[in-house]
Amino acid sequence: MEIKFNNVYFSYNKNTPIENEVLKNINLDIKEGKISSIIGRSGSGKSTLVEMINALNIPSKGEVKINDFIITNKSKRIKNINDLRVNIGLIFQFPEEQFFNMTVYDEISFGMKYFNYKTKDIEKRVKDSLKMVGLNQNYINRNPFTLSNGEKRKVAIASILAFNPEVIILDEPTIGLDSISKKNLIMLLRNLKTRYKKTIIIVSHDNDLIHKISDYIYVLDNGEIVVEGDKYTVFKDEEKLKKYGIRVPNEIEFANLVYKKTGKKIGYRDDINDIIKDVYRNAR
Amino acid sequence: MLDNVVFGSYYPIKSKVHYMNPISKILCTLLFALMIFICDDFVVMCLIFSLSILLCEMAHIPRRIYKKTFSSLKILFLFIIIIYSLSGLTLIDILIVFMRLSGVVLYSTVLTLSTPPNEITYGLQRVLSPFRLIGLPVNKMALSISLALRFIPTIIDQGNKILKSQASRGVDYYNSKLPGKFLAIKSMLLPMFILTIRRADTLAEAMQVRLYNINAKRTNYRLNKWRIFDTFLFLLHFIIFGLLIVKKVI
Amino acid sequence: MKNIIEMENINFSYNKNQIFKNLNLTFEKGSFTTIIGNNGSGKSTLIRLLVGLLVCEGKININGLELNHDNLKKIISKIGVVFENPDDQFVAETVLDDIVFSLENMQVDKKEIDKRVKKISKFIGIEDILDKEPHNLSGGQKQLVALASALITDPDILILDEALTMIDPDTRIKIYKILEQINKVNKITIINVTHNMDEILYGDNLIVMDKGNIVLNGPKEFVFLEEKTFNKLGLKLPFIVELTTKLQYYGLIDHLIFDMEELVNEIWK
Repeated sequence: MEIKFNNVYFSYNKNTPIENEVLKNINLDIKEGKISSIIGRSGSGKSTLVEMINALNIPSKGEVKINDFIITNKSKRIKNINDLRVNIGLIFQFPEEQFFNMTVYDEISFGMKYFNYKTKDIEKRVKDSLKMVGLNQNYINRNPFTLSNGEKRKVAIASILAFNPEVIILDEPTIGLDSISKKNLIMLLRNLKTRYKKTIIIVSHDNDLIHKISDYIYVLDNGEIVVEGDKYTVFKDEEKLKKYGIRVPNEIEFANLVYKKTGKKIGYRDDINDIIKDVYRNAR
Repeated sequence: MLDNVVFGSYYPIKSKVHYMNPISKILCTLLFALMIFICDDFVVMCLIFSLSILLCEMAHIPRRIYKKTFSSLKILFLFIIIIYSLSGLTLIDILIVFMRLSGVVLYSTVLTLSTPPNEITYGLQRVLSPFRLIGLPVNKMALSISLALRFIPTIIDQGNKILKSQASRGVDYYNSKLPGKFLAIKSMLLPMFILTIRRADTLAEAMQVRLYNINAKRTNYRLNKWRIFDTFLFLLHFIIFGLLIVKKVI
Repeated sequence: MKNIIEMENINFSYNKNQIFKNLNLTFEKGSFTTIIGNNGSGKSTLIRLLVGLLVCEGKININGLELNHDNLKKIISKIGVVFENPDDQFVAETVLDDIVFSLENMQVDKKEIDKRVKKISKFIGIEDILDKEPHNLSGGQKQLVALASALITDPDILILDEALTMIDPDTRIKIYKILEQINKVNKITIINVTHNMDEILYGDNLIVMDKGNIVLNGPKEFVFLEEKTFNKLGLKLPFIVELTTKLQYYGLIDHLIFDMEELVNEIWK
């Protein structure tokens, strides 16, 4: 699975007096089987960027290459676009707001009938997708509107997973969830990567989430990719990130402050008890 | 993206017409419409039509804005002219019809361009208020119109978002043929409906907590007062209208 | 008046489910309280009872008045509320029209409205978007407008119901700074209801709710120490809280510190 952006530019309302260039000179190559995150302040172009991966937007300049699909500003109607769309599942903010069926089964299987999937195949896909999101098979006949927020969100994700996409893009997946649901969702994303070998792209403001699960991070500012790398590389320069409206995760902020004060490196620990141990060792 | 199509856009500049009270504007529009439709005489019609031109000039709105409205009506006008000429009416008659239509369109366009939506709603509410006595829920109607104006762009945005969201489930409105488009719309209607109802609920609660009472008197912060110019314009219309009626009756 | 809100023996059921049973709760005047709890803990229901959107059994006193049908209008005129969804509380067609909405309902005269508009739009920082329409604003901007609309009525109490959930982090910080100021300087009593654990650092008091019960209630420094309760409820304490309580426990610092830089300085004094 290849997702490549070559010198991509995008403007809304091109060739009108209200033209607005939202993405500039985007070059990226999404790593297969890894979790990539796109972060940046409000209005930096994150959502526009991911909508291009799903061909919901067409570049004004440059080329987007997704496997064999090549999308440029001259692409008027993309042949077999549904093949692209179902292979790259894009899950928007508050995905549970798109529900319109009375059972979880109908909701997850929506669209498959029109793709001429056989009933047996559909049944299997629904079963598998529920398993993928960690919901019991009992949920099949329940009314999605009666579920809790966390459960609703899982069903919405399952309805995209039912098409078995290679790539899943999630826009603010943890927004509006309480602690327990958030923890569940993080487990789900990890599972999708390691067990089901999906390529995952996340757009989020949630530093906690980004820090916990990202393999690779792109920082977007004013439509351009300004920093990229793994989480240690990206979060190293705290001052620089502040300019882009990004606060580093707490653990890293702490480690940076300790280094500034004492010159001692305590490392970016995930477990707070390890941090305490490090501090104890260095404070005596 | 669709604009506020219901009342047309408000063009915010300062002019005598912009500063007018909405009630007088609505009354004048009504009187104008009445008089332009009951008038049969060509010369008088020209005079009445010139009233609408006069209003345009006083509103100081750039000509190109009117062009936009008229260009979308081009076809309708052409159609009407063809029908009328085929039914054997004279040039004068056709000109009268043309002035009737364009007069009303021009006049109401000036109205909507020079009056912000909430003032239009307020004006309509006050003009129709006598009908409350016969049980017409005027205040509720005015509130509905004003909320519709506020929420139509938001609801359209939401609809677009849902359509985009369904694309990843293989249902793409923009790239499908008719059956696909139909399915996409179907997948959008119920969620929109539910979201809108939920929104209405929350909005009602927010308005209640902000002490909104539909029947109570409230300050109207942005309202233009009724000034001498309003009286002048209103009387002008009223007198012309009165004269026309008298002429017809005699 | 020490307590600006007093709730006594509150019983409330909804659809045959009993949500509150003999609930007792008070809020001190000038306090800044955060109410935290998972979905279903009853925290939003509590707010609805306070502003008269729901009716319960028991006595509620707000600002010295008993909450009943006759006093409702008077009581609510002194409470400002900001709800969760920035779109669902934006009533009017422009920012200016929306912030004056409450004042219009209270029949405040135009001159006074003028004064207050100038003051509040400067304070919140929305002077340059007064004529903008809501669908052209970001969620954060709309929430700032909602806050301005709530504060323009000069309330004694400001209630936020999950108001920071849907907005970007920059605006969240901006709003928090405004809340701090109006609480410390203008002495407005603030109640912030949320399920976002990071927000428990705001304010002075912390109430933890679960299934309609008040599980913890008190100054935040003391409530933070109840690690077992937080774990049981599945609530994850913010990093700085866990860090500072553990550091104090192991004797590396002698009092709780919630600012990271200050904390580091204290450890290596």
